[in-house]
Amino acid sequence: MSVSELLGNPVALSFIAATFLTLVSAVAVIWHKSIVYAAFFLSMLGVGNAILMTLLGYPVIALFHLVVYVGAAVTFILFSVVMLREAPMVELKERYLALIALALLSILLLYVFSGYVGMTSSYYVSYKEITALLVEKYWFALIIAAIALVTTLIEAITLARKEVVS
Amino acid sequence: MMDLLDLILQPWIFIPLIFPGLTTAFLVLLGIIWAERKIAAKVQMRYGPLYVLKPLGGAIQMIADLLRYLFAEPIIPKDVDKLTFIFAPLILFGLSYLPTIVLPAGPGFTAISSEMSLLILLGLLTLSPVFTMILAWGSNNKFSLIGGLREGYLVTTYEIPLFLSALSMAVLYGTLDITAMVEAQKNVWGIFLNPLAAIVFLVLILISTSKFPFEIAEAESEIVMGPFTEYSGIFYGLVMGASYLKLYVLSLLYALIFLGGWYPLPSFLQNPPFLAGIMVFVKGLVIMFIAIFMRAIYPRYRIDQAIQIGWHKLVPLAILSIFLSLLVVYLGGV
Repeated sequence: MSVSELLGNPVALSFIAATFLTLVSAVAVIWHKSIVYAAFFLSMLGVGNAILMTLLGYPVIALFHLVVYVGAAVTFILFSVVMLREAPMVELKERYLALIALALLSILLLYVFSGYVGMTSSYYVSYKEITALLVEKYWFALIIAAIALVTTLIEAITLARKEVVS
Repeated sequence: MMDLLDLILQPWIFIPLIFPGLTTAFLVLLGIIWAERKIAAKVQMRYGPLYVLKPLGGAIQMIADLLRYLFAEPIIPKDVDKLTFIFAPLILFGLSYLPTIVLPAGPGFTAISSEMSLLILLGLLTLSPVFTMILAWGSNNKFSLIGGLREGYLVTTYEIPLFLSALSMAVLYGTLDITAMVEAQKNVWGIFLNPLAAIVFLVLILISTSKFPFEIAEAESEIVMGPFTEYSGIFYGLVMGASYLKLYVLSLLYALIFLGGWYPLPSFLQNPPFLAGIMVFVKGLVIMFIAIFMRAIYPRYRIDQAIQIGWHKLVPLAILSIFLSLLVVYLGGV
């Protein structure tokens, strides 16, 4: 694809911008010494991932990714970190360790997805199709997931009640 | 000239820039803060804003305030984290305004036509608290920090029931598209079909936009100005405006999914969508006035009381509202 073709293709441009945002944010999450900044870059990583998922034809998953991994998870991380008043700094040694883990994970993902290079998603999955699939075909998995979530909820309530008693 | 007008009237330009986007949002911002001060003053038997354009009761007081914010020096304290202190208010303001792009201004008049516009709006709304907490941390001030933490607590309280009550209406109408949801209210408004969701959503608008009796994160009489304590000049204008913008977005959403949107406007008046837009705007304005009127009549809840209301009352009510929607669907739907 030539540069002029690239400039005239908003999808390709969005893909490049989202990929750049995702990669830079991923490195910044690990490399930044302040956890608050790392949490901010984690939210940017989530936004980048959501854009990539939308471009691949899965806007429902992208939206839930945005809500759960940016709206909820990063809020909780920030909430916990800010509550500590003095935000802890990450040691250099730990950052090297995280960087090595990132490199290894990248190699693994490259190996797993190398068979799909050049393939593009040519369909759009609507939320109604996903709902129909979940309810009709994967109903048992859905029930198991619901029970697992309820168990977590009961665990959380038990923990909260214990704290009050003590 | 006509070409330019045609271009401006294209929905993908009109919606983000004119209505419900930037221009209207900005005018609402100026009007609603004045109205809030004026109403609270009237209830408390004071004059409120008066001297800036006295014949109209100080109606352009906020323009004077805006000019003051613009020309005042934004003081950046020595010990703050400068990057977050400067950029977080900008992102916060932008994110508060961003959800307007998925709101329809009339039948078929949308900037982004999506079958999941409600989900997109809710998803975009969840992003702003992150930046409130970041700027609270970056301010390096204990009042800001306490305000940020209170905001964090409130997020955990309001987000789940807000989603549940909005999605209960999606269950009722069988769609996540806001335009289709309005069309489904042609005969009966959502507020009459699922009053439970309507009440829960209204209370959650107050919590999520820090309006009385849930003005807990900013609580002037306790923690100065909460997360925004260290801000001055135009930065203060931005952070203060962000919560009002959120109120504006949620009020319009309320008008669209509970108050029938552009109905009961007859179909021959819906195109061009000028009157439809005005109808939605007026309904949204009523909700905004209800929200700001609370300042005059309610005291402030404590943070633990607000969390208790959220988890003990609003979450069960929001879950019940889903069952109510299912019951309505079972009985024949809309």
